[in-house]
Amino acid sequence: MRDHWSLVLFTLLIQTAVGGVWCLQAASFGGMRLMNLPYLTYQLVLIFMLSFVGLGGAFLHLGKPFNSYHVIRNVNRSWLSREIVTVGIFCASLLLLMVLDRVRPGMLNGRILFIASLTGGMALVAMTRVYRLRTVPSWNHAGTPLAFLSSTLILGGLQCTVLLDLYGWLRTGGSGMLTQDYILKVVFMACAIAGIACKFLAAGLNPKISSNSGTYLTRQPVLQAGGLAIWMLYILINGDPGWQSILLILTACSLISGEVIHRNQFYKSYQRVGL
Amino acid sequence: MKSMPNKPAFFLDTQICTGCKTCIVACVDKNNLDPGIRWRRVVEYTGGEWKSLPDGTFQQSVFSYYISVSCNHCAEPICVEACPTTAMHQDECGIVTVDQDKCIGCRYCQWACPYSAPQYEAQKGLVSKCNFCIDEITSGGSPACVAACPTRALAFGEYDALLTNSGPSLTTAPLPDEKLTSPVSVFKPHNLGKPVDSTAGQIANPEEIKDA
Repeated sequence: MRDHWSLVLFTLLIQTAVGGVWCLQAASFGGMRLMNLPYLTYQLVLIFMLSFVGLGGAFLHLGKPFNSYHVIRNVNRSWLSREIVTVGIFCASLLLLMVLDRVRPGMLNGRILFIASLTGGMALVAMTRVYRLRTVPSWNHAGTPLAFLSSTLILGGLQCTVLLDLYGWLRTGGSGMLTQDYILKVVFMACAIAGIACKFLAAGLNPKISSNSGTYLTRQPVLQAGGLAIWMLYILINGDPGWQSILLILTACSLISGEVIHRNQFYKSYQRVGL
Repeated sequence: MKSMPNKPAFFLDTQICTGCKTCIVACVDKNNLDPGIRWRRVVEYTGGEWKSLPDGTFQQSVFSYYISVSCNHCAEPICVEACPTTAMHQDECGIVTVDQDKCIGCRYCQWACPYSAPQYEAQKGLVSKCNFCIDEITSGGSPACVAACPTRALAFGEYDALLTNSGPSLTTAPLPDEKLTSPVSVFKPHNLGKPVDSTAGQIANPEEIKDA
């Protein structure tokens, strides 16, 4: 396994985008009227940009990117082909959502958001199946989909929380948070915490393999536990927006670094049967 | 011009393979492969130990054998299943080849194949692999590796005929379980051959067989 940084970029960014859409969907299911929020525009643009850069990362991985128009030819058999198709549909639904948000706000967005959530879910399923090769036992276990799901929820929840915090700062100058924003933030943080819970479950399902050792193995849980601790502080220091924002950024840096290291470790753990 | 054999397969008698690697040299020469690209590899599997007995003598269980392996043109080729572009495909005779005009160099076939058959050519950004020397076979010859083998450990023919002549194929470590991809090759095991899931030995030449 070499040159897997482009795949780390691709998988994490697409999962962040899917997680972001799921967080919006969770808020929508919770009764929030998202379509009237100016915040939504920024959120959709950010999610779309993340997916776009993520797809770019996938191209960097290819030896012959100019042949990539062939990539959907084996959609009836290859999970890699299905992954690209579903990620493509996900990006297209995001683009549609973004355009509708500008052109016909509040008309079709709710349904398109649901479609985007669904296609994002399909992309995530395809992404996990790509790695569940029967000849690669170090990936072919239930820990892989669970780890991908946890990354989706953690990164999506974090990304939404940080953007909402930043948006709140720009709008109110840090003088306080609106009730609506507060509820949204609780939903986003709940998604990320659910992701951390999945991470613990996934860690328990990983098989013990020789390459799954070394500094990476210790750095990732330390960073993620540190991130979680700072996050708890963030929740406890409720009322001081300045401190809260600093703590939130520290939380995000710590958890994102943990995710990057974890994904890198995932690729390094590649072990195939046979030769 | 001869017609293609139905389900062509390699045969390897590991009992008489000496690990001379002439097959590799012949393959590289015939296909003009770049340095480091090996469509055929020879694995040296070795292990065992010497035990000191109370009477002052020694008893050994040392073993070593060679397995020359290329693409096995499997009946259930995982590379064909994995390839997103259909560049990796199987023809009606069962030969698995790469259409380099379609290959995107994603190396997913390389991840999946338990025999390290697909080789990534970094300079071209493409994957290449054993094509069973189709040109030689159709003109009545043998694949280059088979023609070059000095001990005749390596042979080729129709799969069913090889099975009839040599008995059932029995793969040994370090090759993977046949159930994974159903390789269309016949292996006659070495008398010291270990079962596929054995950890009794190790590959002595990992640098020579790693993915290109």
